[in-house]
Amino acid sequence: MSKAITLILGGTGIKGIASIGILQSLQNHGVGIKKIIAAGISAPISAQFALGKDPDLLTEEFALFFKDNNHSLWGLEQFTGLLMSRRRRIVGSFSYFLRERLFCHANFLNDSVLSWETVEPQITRFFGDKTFSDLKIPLVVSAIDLKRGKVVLLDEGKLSDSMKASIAFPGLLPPVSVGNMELVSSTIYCELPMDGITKKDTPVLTIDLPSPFSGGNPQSLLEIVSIVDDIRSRTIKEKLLIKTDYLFRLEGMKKFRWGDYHQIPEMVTLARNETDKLLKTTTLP
Amino acid sequence: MKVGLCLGGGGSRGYAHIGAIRALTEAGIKIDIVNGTSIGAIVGGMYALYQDVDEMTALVKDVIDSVNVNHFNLFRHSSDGPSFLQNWLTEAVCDVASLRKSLQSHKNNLKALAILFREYRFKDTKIPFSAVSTDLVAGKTVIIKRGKLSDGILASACLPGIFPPMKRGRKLLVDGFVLANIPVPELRRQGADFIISVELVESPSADYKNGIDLLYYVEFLKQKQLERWAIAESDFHFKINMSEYDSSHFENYLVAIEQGYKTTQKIIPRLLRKLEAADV
Repeated sequence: MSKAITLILGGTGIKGIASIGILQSLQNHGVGIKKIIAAGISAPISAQFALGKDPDLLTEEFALFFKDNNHSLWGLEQFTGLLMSRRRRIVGSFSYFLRERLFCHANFLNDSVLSWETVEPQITRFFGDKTFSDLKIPLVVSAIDLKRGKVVLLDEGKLSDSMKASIAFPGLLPPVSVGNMELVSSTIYCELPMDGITKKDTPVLTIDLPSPFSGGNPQSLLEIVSIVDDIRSRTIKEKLLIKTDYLFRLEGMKKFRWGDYHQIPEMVTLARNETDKLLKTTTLP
Repeated sequence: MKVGLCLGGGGSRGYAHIGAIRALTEAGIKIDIVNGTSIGAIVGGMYALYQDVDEMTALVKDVIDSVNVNHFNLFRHSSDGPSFLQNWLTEAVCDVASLRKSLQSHKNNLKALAILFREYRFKDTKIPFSAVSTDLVAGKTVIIKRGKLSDGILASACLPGIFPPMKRGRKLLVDGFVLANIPVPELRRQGADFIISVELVESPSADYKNGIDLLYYVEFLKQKQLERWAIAESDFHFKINMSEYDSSHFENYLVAIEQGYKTTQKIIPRLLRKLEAADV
């Protein structure tokens, strides 16, 4: 392996945590990483990795965080008593979950389903006052600036601000103000931060964590609107993937859904194994 | 060389397309093939069928006079695009939103389309025409060019969430604006060599009151990105600025037609030069 790659990481919802396994695998195979461009949860993961955190420890911390906070974070547990089909829709589609929560729980007046109260302490524990310049591998985080209506790239300043922006999924967490920007996660626009790729980044390796398509036979208005959302995101992703030199599509990850917080170690292990396999069959530069 | 006209979606703003067509035909620009999405499909279908702007305007007047147009006033409570659906959905109570498939039925749509297209079929149009819709099952754009015009156009114009999807074979069709609000690549596939695409511009607001606004704003950004890619494939693109237009009243169609006419007149010299350069 002579040439270092630029790594693109993304993923919807909690699935992005699988990035731990990907980074572990690349490290074990001695793949040089000159830069990481990340969106969603894979941004704090990449930052922790670039700060030198042990991947196994990181997996444990994430699993523990969701275990401790699952009720207040997702409130999914309360659906277990309801019809399984409804629960499946909620857990299966991130877009459906957000709409169901925002419409059906009298949240009309709220910016988001959750507040920062639960999530912020963990971000502070992870990053404190550290900045992008403390990272051993350069990191670029993608987010959407609501004021300008476009994707912006964050690569300087306090890590905690950018990390909050990267996980501020619109509707789930409130937007984050940084400078004169109002930021939300870009994964809802495109799972992968392909907009961050520049000519200098070649060769680029993109890791896709696919999800099964939610189309089919929608039963309700919310499902229809969520499928529309999903169709657009998929189309945008496929179109933007042209920018990458190498693509690892971890097909096995289809079995996990955006909200599978109780399967974090399994997700990480599967992502690591699949990346291992693909590294054996692909010749990177 | 076939000149194609591609008409974008945009609700009642789309009457501006009628004015655009008037300006194009007055300038002697011959359109050989046409397609459209949503209101673009309605106007495009009328043009392909009647080839007469005065008749089209008269038919629109008929619809406004005889169908309960307030029914179409989806934009009544809001002056901009991304939040019109939000306003409706916010009004919908929990059970409506989670149990019903749409807020309205097709009753009035069918009535309006029956006035515009009667029993005519795609094969009856004077120039080739196709309507663009989205299949929710495959997650792809669908080009409709067979069958009854009113059926195909309804599938291209049924806004997901507001109107029920249309079943057609194994497909479940909703408004083409999901993936192809300005369906340029689709028109290319129909054989157009030189494509003129028309965009109806609105000015979205990034102000949000709640999480639902945010979701719709991001949806709007996605739609715009998809539109940019489509527009890049056209040979001549122009915008009709409808941001000042009060889209809350379908009755304002004459204002929209005028706006479309004036804007298009201005771009005619540039378009003629481009057509000449392309050896049309």
